[in-house]
Amino acid sequence: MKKRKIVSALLAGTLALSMFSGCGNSSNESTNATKANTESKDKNEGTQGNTEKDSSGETVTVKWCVPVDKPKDYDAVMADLNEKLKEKINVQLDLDCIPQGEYADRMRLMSTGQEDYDLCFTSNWLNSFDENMSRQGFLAMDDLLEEYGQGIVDSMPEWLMDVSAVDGKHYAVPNQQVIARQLGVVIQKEYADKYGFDLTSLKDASDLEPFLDQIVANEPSMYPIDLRVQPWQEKDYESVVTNSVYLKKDGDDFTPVGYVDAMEEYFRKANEWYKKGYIRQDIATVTDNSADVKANRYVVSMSSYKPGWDAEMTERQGVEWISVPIEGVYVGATSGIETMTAINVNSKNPEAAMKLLNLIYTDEEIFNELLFGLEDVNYKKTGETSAEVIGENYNLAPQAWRFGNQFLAWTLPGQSDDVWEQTDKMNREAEVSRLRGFTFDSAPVQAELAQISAVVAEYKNREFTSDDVDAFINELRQKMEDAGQQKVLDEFTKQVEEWKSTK
Amino acid sequence: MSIGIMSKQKNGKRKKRGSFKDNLQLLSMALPTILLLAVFNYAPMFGLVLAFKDYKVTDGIFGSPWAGFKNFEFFLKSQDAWRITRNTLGLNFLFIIVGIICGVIFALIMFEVKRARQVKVYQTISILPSFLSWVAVGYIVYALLDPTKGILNQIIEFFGGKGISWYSEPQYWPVILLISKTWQGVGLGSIIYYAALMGVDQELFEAAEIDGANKLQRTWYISLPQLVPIIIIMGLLDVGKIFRADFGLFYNVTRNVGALYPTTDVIDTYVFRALMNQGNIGMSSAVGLFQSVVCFITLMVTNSIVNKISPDNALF
Repeated sequence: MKKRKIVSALLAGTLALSMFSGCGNSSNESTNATKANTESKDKNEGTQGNTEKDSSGETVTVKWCVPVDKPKDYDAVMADLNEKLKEKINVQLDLDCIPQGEYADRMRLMSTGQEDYDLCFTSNWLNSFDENMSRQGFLAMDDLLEEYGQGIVDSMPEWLMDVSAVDGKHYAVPNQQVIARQLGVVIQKEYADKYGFDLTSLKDASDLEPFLDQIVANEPSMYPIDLRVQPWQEKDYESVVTNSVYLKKDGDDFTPVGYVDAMEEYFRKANEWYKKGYIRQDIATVTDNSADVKANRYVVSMSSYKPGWDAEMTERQGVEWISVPIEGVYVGATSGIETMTAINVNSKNPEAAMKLLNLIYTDEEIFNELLFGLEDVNYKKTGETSAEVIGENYNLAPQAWRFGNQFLAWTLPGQSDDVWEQTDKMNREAEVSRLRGFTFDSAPVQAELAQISAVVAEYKNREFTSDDVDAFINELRQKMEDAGQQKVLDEFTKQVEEWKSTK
Repeated sequence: MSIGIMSKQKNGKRKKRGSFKDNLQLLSMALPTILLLAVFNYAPMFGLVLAFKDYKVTDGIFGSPWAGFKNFEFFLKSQDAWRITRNTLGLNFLFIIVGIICGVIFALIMFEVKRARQVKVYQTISILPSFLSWVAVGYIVYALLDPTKGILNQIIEFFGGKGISWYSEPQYWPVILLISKTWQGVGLGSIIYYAALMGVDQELFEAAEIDGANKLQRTWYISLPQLVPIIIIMGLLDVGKIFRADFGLFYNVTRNVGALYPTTDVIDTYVFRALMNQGNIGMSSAVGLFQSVVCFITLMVTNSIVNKISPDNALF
């Protein structure tokens, strides 16, 4: 009797299982398909009718995952855009807009679950390129680039494509935007005027101190600065492997330093700034400050500088902002990795994906429709290459850097017409790292990197709140050593030696 | 459970087929649970193979190359392995003991309240926190403990004390977590004990009363011994999960503040922190498997101990 029960339970289990898995797959596929179909069909059948049959070959849909919020009017714009895409390259775009907060998790699930998507945004900070490479999630695209992607290759400086090369093959296309790294600040104009802030470029982040002192003294309801970078580390060191390997910017040897050595000056300064009240006092418990950013509660925000930053901020934030660069423009070993687009290794239509990407990089009309939507509905042209968004509407223009070739984008009100020429010039004239072309293979030190990332997370923000910064640094140094810092540095040195001998 | 045993006894002499038919009703009631277990607990077990694999998207779960025990290294060799193991086991042990004691006491108190209406009100109020997510509880705790605007610090300062910056003092947190966990779980936890008390034969109490036992004596000599089997079963079930921490509690209520890790970092939060950036599913599965194996061992050991001491109360 017992046996029988077990058997029947097992049977029921497997039955239910197959039922569930069957449902899961088919429903997923059908929703995707219907979504894409209805979007394109509605429009196609109405306006084009017969042409659908005439076009040679099957129209394939390319699913592109990007970390943006789904804009209003999405359906109307996509329908129109797809009509044009069909005409030009016989491809349909299914733009999957995933809010940035969910993006990393969603992409990880899609990739490890071997789901079918074609293009995706990847970088070193969101949907990590290294992580995807370690599970071989991206497609090597050299042949495709040669056949369908010449427009992409021609649009960028030679050293830029190298960033996605692993063992001589390319696995992603860097988005064409500001690549060279220069730090800068944006300041709310109201306060800069009020306290007479000098707008010429800053030599060092510390030059902000007098201004911040005034904010602390006179504006108690505001947070003086949102420090999103580590300026006193970046001044001297470039980060080669996140949180673990750093290289001194000037010099000609390849001796790396570890996390704590590179960060020490920053830790001391950050601690000082916190004690002086420049940094919000509850920083230790703030997990997400985006609401305060949105509400313009920060007077200054320090981040990486780019031409036209002030216009972008003003457009997004609703109050006027000005941007000031901090001296020193640099192209690191992996600069460009910050925003890239890759093809899924499980993509059913890699050719179509590359064709679409190539068009996005070269076709001004298509790219700007993707960014701005429909003329006179979503935007008004204000000049040959500039446009203005109408009201609260379809608007991906401030997100152009997530998409492809930003240099084709029409400029926004406030941005000068030559902003992209300026940016391109900044990229091409920057000092380029002597480590350019080298990519670190993290596979041999995965366990160490996991521990290091746990340690860094544990000590996050404590550089601010620690009473005794020396004790903090020593403690952290010990923890990092125990986590395997030296082993990662040794691995780096070994790989650099190999790289140098093949160069 | 008792119904099942009864029907088994009745049907002992009948044909096999009949017993299945008789139990059909009960079996069909169990079906949803069986399905749920099959889908969410048995089917994913095949995925455990990932713990020994170097996962590649192109090769899939079963095609990826073998990695031996490499995925386990990260956790077992970690400098924090001792700290997080101690926290997980220690805090969970504390939760189990205090949870049972509070649940039983609450149930005994409820049992003494004789008006049905009042019992309902008290129980509803005590169960309510169980429906709050840990995220919400995290904010409630934050409202109490915020160093500058928190209610608790304002009270301390009102009486002339000096406010404590709770989120940088790890030594207070085992207690804070214990209070949060107990507050959240005691209502639901006591229900099962309350139900068991309802099943105790009233004659026992009446007889004791006639013999002159007071309320405390009745509780001590009748109610509690009647509860022992259920307490042991509940305890065993909890011990079976002792190596798994309640991620929601440890992540949200502490607001994931690094300064508190010495006393609040548990296996689940550590793994989340270490592997979130890398997304290495091999290493994550390895830790999951490790936890399951340890839980399995602790469960077997406790059960066999109970078996030795009082075989009637053991789980199996």
